[in-house]
Amino acid sequence: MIAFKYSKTEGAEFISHLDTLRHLNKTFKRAGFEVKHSQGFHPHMLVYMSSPIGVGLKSYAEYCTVDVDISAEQFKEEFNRYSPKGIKCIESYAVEKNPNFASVITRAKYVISGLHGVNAEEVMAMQSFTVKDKHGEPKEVREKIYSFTETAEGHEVVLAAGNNALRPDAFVKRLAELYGEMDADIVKTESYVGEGDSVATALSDIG
Amino acid sequence: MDKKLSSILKRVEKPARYIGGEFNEVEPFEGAFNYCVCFPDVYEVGMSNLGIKIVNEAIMSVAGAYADRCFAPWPDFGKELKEAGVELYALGNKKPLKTFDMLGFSLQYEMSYTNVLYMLDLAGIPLRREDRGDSFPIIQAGGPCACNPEPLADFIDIFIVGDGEESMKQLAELKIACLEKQEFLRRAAAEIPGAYVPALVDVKYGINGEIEGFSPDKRIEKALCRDLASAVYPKRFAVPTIEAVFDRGVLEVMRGCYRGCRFCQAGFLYRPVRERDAEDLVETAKSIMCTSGFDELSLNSLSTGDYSSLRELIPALKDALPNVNMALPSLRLDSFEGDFVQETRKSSITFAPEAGTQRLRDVINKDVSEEEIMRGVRQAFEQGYSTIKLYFMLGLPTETDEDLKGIRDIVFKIRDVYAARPNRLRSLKISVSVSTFIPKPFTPFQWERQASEQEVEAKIALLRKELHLRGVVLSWNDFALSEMEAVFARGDRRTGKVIEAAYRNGCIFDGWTHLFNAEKWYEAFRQTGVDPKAYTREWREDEVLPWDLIDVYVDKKFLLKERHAAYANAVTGSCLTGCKGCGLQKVYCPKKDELAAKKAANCKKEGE
Repeated sequence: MIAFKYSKTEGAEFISHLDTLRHLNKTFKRAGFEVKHSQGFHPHMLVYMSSPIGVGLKSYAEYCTVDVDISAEQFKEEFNRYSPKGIKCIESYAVEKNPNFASVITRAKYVISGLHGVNAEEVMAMQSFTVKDKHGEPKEVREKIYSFTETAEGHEVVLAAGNNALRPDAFVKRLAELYGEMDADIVKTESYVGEGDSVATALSDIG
Repeated sequence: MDKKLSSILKRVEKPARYIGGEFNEVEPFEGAFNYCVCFPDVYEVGMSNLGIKIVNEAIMSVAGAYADRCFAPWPDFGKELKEAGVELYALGNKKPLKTFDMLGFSLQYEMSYTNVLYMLDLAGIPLRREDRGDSFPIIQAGGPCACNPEPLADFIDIFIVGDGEESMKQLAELKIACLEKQEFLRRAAAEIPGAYVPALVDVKYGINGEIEGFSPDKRIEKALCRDLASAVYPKRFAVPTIEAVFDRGVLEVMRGCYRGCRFCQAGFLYRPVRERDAEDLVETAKSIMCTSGFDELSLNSLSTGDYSSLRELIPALKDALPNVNMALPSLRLDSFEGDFVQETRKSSITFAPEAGTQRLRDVINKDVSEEEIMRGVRQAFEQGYSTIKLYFMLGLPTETDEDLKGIRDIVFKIRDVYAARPNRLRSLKISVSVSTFIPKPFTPFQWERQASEQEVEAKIALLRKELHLRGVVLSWNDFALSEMEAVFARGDRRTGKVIEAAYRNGCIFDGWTHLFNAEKWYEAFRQTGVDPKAYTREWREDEVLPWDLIDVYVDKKFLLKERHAAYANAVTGSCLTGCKGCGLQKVYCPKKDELAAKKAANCKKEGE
């Protein structure tokens, strides 16, 4: 089995989760990987992706596991030769069992540019931070913001990811309500596993 | 990416339609000739089209030429582009369409005509050719609808009628050699097969409004690719960024059809039948499938069952590509004992008897008997299908209520066949879909009138009554849509202003039923003083037809003979039973001698 980290950039950030899976499958086929298939009436490739990322959000920290017997080095090289523009393998590791990225990833870091006039310290000092849910009702999400700082490139924020995620575009939308309209560009740069103080980057245990 | 554009992409539906970067697309470069194929429908539809892939392959085969692509933006994206002042761009190099040397529109169906104007407009290019100076790209068009180019003659600088493989190449070569627009158009019209430059042809009208003739009085012969084996064919298919309507590789096994169904335009346009070599096809298929990663390969043609090497081709393909599913979309009922082909089970299977009675099937030269239909249905049931789709046409020449009731008879017989089966796990579902007959240029029915709205309504009312049965669903299409299709299929140059007015009224994506707005179309007819009935009426056999200036090598006399045979309920049958003398035998037909011999043998038999 191969666990790998890949990017969605250069336009590929606009490809939906389901279409991304199609591209991963096709990439494996073009590369000639002999991926194991599920049993049953409609066999499909055994490919396990991390939780979906919103359409339009660039990322350098998507994760996936695929059931194939091949060396990690060869996987990365061949994958990148046959993958579409913007979907590129960054790191790859041979693993014994599926790390199940969709459930173990709990946090993600985003670099956001274009947040003009946003005071990160002020936001972190807030007792309450609400975003609108799909029914338009305000929802308290302050506890899902782990850190928010200003850097040379813009702002950096660590938000809850996975099953209990706070979407970064929802976070930015709320900031726009507080600080005025802005055209922000969001890039996911890292995904983390673990709880409390014991967080680690998603592949660090394996590596 | 442009900042304005990337912020628009975040707001629209399916933004991946507009980003390009497909695997297997060529890296963009600045060519000596830069061409952009424009498909006037949405990305998912256009990416499934084989014609534009062949055209771009032809252009790219010319040294120094670059071919890009562009599809019609869905209305949400189009509106945003317009509001933000972002001009429509090509997907490969992301440059505005305006910066190309030539834009080539693919005309697959009449109801995409407003989208041609929509794309020009979004690109910031004047719609009418007379309003475009020499600085704008040359606007070219091709594809099956170019066989009657007149409705778009005011907007298109040059049409290529017929096969694109060689003519598109010649067009690119000529443009590289000859940079000045007017000179290029003059030379193209004179030198390139199938080239039609509307600015160089005048239409003369009589006092009654009928066409009197064309000046100069010279017919434009369609481009005909005689040797498909040495012609270009894409060996690597671009993999669509979002799922296309057909997410699969396509192999064109042959071009043309032997059958000659009298309503079918493609059956006459693409003559003569040219079959591809089975070994070449296997090599092409291997390349397409291995470089794309598709799961499915479709064997395309107008009647794949008639491909003479099918029995060799299919096992060879299965052998070479063991994990690939094979699809044969146009297998005729009578053409193949198809069970070893259809291994991938689909939810339903479709049959197209086209007409309800044997008499009417004889009229349209759809040479298939009820027995053959039932054999196909029985086979489908044996394979485990329990949903059957049936296609029929409505308003065919000589059609009576008896013919419509024949549809019910077929449905009942299918139910009987199913009821007689021993183990029926599911209940039988039959969906009957009827579409209004549209008389098309270059068919024996090109002179026929289209049924009126009242007639069609009465026919549908009858069918609704007859088919009000458990497990049977009837669907039919909007009359206004069929009427528009009829008008622009047979339209002359004067109908161009209706298309423009309809576009100005807001009509786009008219082929999408939920976006088609009949009211705006009828308003466009009123605004321009054009009567749609003038184009849906019966045409006299001695009238000059708007498409008479095009020669697809099928003799008008042959079409007339076929029309008269239809009224005599006489079946002509397939070319494979002997040459019928359509006209291609005088120009080029690969099976000319074989079919002529068959004909002679038949005549002899009759004589004895």
